[in-house]
Amino acid sequence: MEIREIPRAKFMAAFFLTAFIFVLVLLTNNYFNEIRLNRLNSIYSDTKIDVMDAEMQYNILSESPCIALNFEPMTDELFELGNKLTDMEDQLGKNNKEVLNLKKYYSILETRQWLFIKKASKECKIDAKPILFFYSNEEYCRDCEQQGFVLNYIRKAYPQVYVYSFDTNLDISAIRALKLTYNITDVPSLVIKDTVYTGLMDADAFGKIL
Amino acid sequence: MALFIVLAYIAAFFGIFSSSIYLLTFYENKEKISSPVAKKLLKSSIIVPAFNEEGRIKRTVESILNLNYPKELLEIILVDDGSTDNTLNEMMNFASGNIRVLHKKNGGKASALNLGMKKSSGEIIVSLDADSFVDKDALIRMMGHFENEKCMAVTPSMKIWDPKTILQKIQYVEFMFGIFLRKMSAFLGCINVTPGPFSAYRKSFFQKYGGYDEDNLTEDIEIALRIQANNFVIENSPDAYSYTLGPSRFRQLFKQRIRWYIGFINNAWKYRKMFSRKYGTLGIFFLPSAFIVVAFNILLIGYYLGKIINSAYEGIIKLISINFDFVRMLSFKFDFFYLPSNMMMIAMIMSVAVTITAIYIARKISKDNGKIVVPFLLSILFYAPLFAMWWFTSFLYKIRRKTLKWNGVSWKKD
Repeated sequence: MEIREIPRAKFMAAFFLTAFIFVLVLLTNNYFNEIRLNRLNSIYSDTKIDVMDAEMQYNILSESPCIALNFEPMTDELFELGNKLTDMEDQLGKNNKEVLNLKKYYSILETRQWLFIKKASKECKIDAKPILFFYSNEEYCRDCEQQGFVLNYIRKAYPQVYVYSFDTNLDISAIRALKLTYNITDVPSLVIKDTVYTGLMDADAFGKIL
Repeated sequence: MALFIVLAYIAAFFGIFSSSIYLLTFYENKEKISSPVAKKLLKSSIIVPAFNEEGRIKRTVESILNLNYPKELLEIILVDDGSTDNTLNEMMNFASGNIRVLHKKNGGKASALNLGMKKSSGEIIVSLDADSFVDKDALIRMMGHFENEKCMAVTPSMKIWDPKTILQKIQYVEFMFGIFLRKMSAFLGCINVTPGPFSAYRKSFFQKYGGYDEDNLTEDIEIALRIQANNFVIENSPDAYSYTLGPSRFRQLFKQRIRWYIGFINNAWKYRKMFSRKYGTLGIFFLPSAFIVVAFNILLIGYYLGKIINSAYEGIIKLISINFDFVRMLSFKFDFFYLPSNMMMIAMIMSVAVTITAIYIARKISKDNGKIVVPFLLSILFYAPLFAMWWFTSFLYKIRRKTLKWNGVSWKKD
């Protein structure tokens, strides 16, 4: 009779090796996430500077005709920050504390930029069409996800469109004020030229409104 | 969803743990990989059972005739299992000297092997499927293992011959991985199958414990488990090469795998007493882990497949909402930030790394130099879903007691 058995020592060695690999994977993953969070921080610092810079530019030029206003750098950076935040939210989860904080700050930046663009476009007669988009990710909202996709498309199809997305569940007074101002009770909701549209809107419907 | 993520982590942990056992076994035994040199060669009877193998049998027999083994110690028995084509006539062309041809009514491979065994005179019985052939040094390299009296069977190093289609290329990688697994399993004492293409057995085992189980879908799994159920050993010679033709079409491969897997389920049930520490590594590690791996694989592939189908559906809905003007949405800007890096992704990369290591070792120990890059990439993409589908269907067939056929014989067993 010959029975071959894996010695206990080998079982233990394999177990510890696996545990070691798992810890290594965990640390590597955390390291990458740390790098990403740092990059997010640096992007939103840049965005903050851009918004302030544009505001300053607006203030300087407010006495003169608004010929030199350029929204592109700040809107592009804010858009990039938004994409990256969405990605981080997918990776780290919607309840991750750091992601939540970044999201709150991002929403404040959005509000600030929206106010600025709204005012600048009015006073300088610039053809800028800011859109407010209210969504929720508390529970799975398929229409919200789809609306986000359509708005991405609209942003590319109409260069004068600037989209500002707000998670209605975020506990910040800026969002509460916006919800109150436009009487937002359902998601997805859109505010285009001060009119509220509730429910999913496809590209054709946008075409008619814009 | 959270449950599946936990399941995926457990599966990853178990996968890495099992791989560690095999890799540690390799590290421990790397000097003992080659087959031991035989001090004495034993008389061997090579049995080739065939059912409708017209056009293929010639190469099989010629490879046996080319074996580097003393002719006086070699007996070749070709058994025609009631073929309806020209197989018998092709066999008859070889009937002379130490080659005998037997003909019987169709009864399945096991019955053909049993008949050949009954008429044989060798101390060692070697089976060789009629769609396979061997390297000239295969038999002589396997003989050294029989110097251990407890060794009742020796398995070869099986390779897919000339892989042409995508499915054959995937099987080529699978068999290459199998070379590593089988050798490590031999060290650990947990070989679960003595495959048809050139496994060698001590005849005395059959004489004492009976021949092949003729009512079994996979007689090669049954005999492997029976040998170990009686506390004997199965060895492996990674330098004894046998070549087989992998099914080239999906339907053929599907039927083959369903038979293998249902056969494995049936035999695991038949030898369920072996799920015990009493049977060493086979009982405590291999048999339970085989089912655990299959269960994880089916669940995870099912989950990810569901996610992929759902994403495709959502994608179509999204495209409809922008009138399929997707060109505007295309963006090729590369940013490191968007590279997915989660635990599962890193665990998957590690699994691929382990597979590459195992295949590298297998290629070294079996001195294989076939093209591997494309077959490997195809395997990475398709093997896991195929494996899950075959197993899932096998369980379905088993639950629904569906009839399977093997070489023209109907099977409706347990």
